[in-house]
Amino acid sequence: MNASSLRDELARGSIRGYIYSDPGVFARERTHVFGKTWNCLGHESEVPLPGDYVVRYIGDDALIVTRGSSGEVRAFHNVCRHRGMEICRAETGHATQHVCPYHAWTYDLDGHLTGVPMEKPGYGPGGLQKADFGLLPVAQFGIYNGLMFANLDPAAPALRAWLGDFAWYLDLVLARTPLGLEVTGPPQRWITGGNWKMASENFIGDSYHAAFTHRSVMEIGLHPNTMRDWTKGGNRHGVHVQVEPGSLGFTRLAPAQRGYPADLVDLFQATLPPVQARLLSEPEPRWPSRIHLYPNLSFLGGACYVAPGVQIPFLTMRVWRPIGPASMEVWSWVLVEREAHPEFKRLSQRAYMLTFGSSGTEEQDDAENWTSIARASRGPSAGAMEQLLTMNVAQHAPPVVTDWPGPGTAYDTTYADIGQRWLLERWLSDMGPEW
Amino acid sequence: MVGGLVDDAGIVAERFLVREARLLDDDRFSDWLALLRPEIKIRVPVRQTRTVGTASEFSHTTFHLDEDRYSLEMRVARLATDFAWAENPRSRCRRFVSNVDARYRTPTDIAVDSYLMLYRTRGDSGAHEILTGRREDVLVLVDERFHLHSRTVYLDQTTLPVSSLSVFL
Repeated sequence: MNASSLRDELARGSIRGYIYSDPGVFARERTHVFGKTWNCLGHESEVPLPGDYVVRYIGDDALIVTRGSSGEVRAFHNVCRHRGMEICRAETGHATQHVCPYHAWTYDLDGHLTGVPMEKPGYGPGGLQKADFGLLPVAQFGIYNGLMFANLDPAAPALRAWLGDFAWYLDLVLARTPLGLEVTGPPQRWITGGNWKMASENFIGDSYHAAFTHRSVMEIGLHPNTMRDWTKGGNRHGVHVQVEPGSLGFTRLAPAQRGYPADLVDLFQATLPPVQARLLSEPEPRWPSRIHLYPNLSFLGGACYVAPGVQIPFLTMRVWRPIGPASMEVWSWVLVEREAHPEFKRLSQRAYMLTFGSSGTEEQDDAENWTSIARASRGPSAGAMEQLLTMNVAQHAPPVVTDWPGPGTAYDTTYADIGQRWLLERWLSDMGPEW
Repeated sequence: MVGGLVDDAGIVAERFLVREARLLDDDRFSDWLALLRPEIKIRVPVRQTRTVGTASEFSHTTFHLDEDRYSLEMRVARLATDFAWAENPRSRCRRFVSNVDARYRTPTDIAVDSYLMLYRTRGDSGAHEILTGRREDVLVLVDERFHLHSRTVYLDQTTLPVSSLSVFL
């Protein structure tokens, strides 16, 4: 594989299909992308009490994410320091300590090694230097607006520095009420064909697919948008914001039009700083509907009718965990404002489930696209074919929104390959010069 | 014997579930909807692996399916469009129903516990997907026929080995 020719081709607007299914590409991504970037592990509300834990993954590295005795959340490798046994074999629970099933090495909630059976007779009169054998913390861990992230690379920039100007938009999505968001419950997990990059590209910039991929959902009247909404005014129905390390797509909707109840809309306005609050209000409302943070964290702020005439919005967060060259495990959560009425939380969960998630009527067809593309690209000849990424970029670039209030560059369309191009450039950069 | 009558709950329930499976496997979704009561609820809770003796593995708040009559009709209507790509071409499904344990709660109301194995194959790959679980159903007698009033499916899988759950359980 010639990395420099991939870069040259991408600069001209194409990418070879094999990057979505090649085992060698996948093997290199494990270290060069997922070994060096900030990966989302979930939301802090999943471990509300000291001793609560969940097991999460970066690629194949399993991490115990747990709230310690002082209330601080940490992440440790789920590996006993003695012989490498998995400490937690349940994916969630509550513990007062963690005991390895193999030889009963015991760790407290803060990761300290507190017990080693037959320590003195086995390891000499001084025993073992237990302070050196605590659970190994992940190289870096951080929380932003409740989102828990980890990085396997100790030399990577700190979380806040990595998020950069993107944090302004995360605030808009995750911190628009005083208490912020919580998960509605455990995430749905399912294994689907397709490569994590294709799913990520779909969320980072591909609004173009919605009108046809999701046409069935509009035809039956489940989705509040009609075909005309998606094509109204050519492709000028929204705003694409490119801001490292990701991007967002905004639709021209106020929160109330999206279906948010008045109490939450008022809370958004009272909580957000004036600039962000103005973005969500008349006369020119903008709603962040698709959000992607490199490498593999996506959000969707959608809505559907949960009963005739009852439109309910939802916010889903998903991690596209790479588990093979052409397969991924999807982790999908629903986030909802903690202040919301319990009935709204329940309906928001239903609105999500009818359209997205493991059984979602829209997500089903997304999975079909991603699986199919990966399958088609496995053939050596098809894999060498170039896919096209030239929509509304370079000489056709859409006008920049000059009075956009937030950081980054805002473009006056969501139908463009700007985000996909950025993601692949970043990915090629992470993959290194020669491979 | 129940109240002097032959207790045929097991026979009635098995006949119902076998017929229902056949309708779904044959893509007769409108006929399937006709077996469901207007107040139908179908739930498939998310499952998580937990240590023995702690909380239930099944979530009370998140589900793979949490359906009422409206949402089921929407899903069926979608399958009838030309654009339900995940099911066009159709999944080829075979639903195996067994271990039926049923009892009359009232003369017109049967509680059924049964096993389901869903075998599904798609396209020309030769691969297949299997989902298994236990179903708790309530059947009610209305207009001299039994209908499905409610169903909860307790899947064996925590992480679903399916590209999407585009079929009914």
